[in-house]
Amino acid sequence: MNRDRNVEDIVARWVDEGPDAAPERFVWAALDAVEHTPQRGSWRIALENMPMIAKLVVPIVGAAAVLVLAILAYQQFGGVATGGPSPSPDATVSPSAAAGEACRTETVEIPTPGTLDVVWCIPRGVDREVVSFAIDGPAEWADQVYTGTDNLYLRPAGGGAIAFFLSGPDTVEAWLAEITGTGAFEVSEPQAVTVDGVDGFVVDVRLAEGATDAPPLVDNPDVAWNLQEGSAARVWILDAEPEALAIVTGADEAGFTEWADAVGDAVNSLQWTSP
Amino acid sequence: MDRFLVEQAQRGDREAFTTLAFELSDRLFAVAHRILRDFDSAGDALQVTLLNIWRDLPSLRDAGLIESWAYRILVRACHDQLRTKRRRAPALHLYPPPAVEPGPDLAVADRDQLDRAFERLTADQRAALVLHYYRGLTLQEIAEVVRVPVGTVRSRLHYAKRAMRAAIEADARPTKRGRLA
Repeated sequence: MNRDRNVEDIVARWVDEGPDAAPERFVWAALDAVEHTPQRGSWRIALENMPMIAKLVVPIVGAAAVLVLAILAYQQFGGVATGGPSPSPDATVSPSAAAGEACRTETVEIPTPGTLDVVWCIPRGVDREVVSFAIDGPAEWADQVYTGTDNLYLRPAGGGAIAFFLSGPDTVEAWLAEITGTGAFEVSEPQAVTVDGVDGFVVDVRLAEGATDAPPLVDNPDVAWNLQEGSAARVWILDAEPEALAIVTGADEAGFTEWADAVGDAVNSLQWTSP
Repeated sequence: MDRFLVEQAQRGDREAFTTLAFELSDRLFAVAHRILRDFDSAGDALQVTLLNIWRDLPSLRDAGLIESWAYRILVRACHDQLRTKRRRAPALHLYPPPAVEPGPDLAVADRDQLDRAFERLTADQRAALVLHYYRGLTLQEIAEVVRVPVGTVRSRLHYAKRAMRAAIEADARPTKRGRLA
């Protein structure tokens, strides 16, 4: 206990060292940028932070409202041509249009049935990073799509998840070491894989026997992947320059191998595409 | 923090925001510097944070929560800075950082070991450690700032402390040459 107290004291003293005031030039530089930056309306922020499925709903509701107005106008004016295009019943909605132009939040497009074409846009300060790929997999795998801080979740209609993370260590080796190093997991021998020219490893992970306080398998500021007892996860960690990309899926032990193999087939079919 | 000031800035008052920015910036910079351990990166994180606060301020529902909301944005900016920093070669400082008076009773060797151990922590572990030990936030408060479960914060803090403890103990351990001899 004394030893713990001593360590706590040393860490507290060490962390206390450092500047306590911001140099004004940094603040003025930010305020100069503020001069030329409009505030974003709260409705727009709310829209950008909505899950993708909700983003799809908004323009569809909008289109439906236009259609209702058009029908009402038709009934009112007896089909008199009033000019302008008529609403098309086949009109499709582009998720990217609803997603905002500046990639303030992660976005993904999955427009093709049978092939999941993913364009995952991740803000990096004032820049952005785009991870773009296509995998062969049923459209139901992307029944629901969630994005958060450096993560993208595909929620299949039948349950489970296929998650993509950029939130771990920057190299494959470091990430692998983080998973194996905790001692809380039983990790299979890493198998080398190459996914469309990108090298990496795949491992199966289970909770180690007696592990009661296991950390998340993949930590993330928004949604961590916590491994439950009686379930397993398969993790691909790929050296997707300049960062490492982890693809994680999991299921209860009973259906794990079948499910993970199916996802594995999809991962093997992955092709990096141009955004 | 002056609630009225926050509400004025939320309505687009740039003068109010200037005052607010100066009120927040010392605390934000101090936390950023402790997470990033680099003067210029902390300055960059502060600038990105202030700009994002201004841009997204209308979305803040409760003006009283401005500080924890600002820390959330800052931690995210530090996360981004660390990624960029790990990828690029060390850059020259444009301005010499101000001299920092070291604490009187922390040995140089301790400090070096702690620096090195801290360098190896993830951005999330660093943030948890700094918010807890420097800002004095509880686990619950940190969880609210970074929007993760309390258990996740506890785990981050646990691993961060373990790494720091190992660094201190490694330094205290006698070497083969017999440091204590």
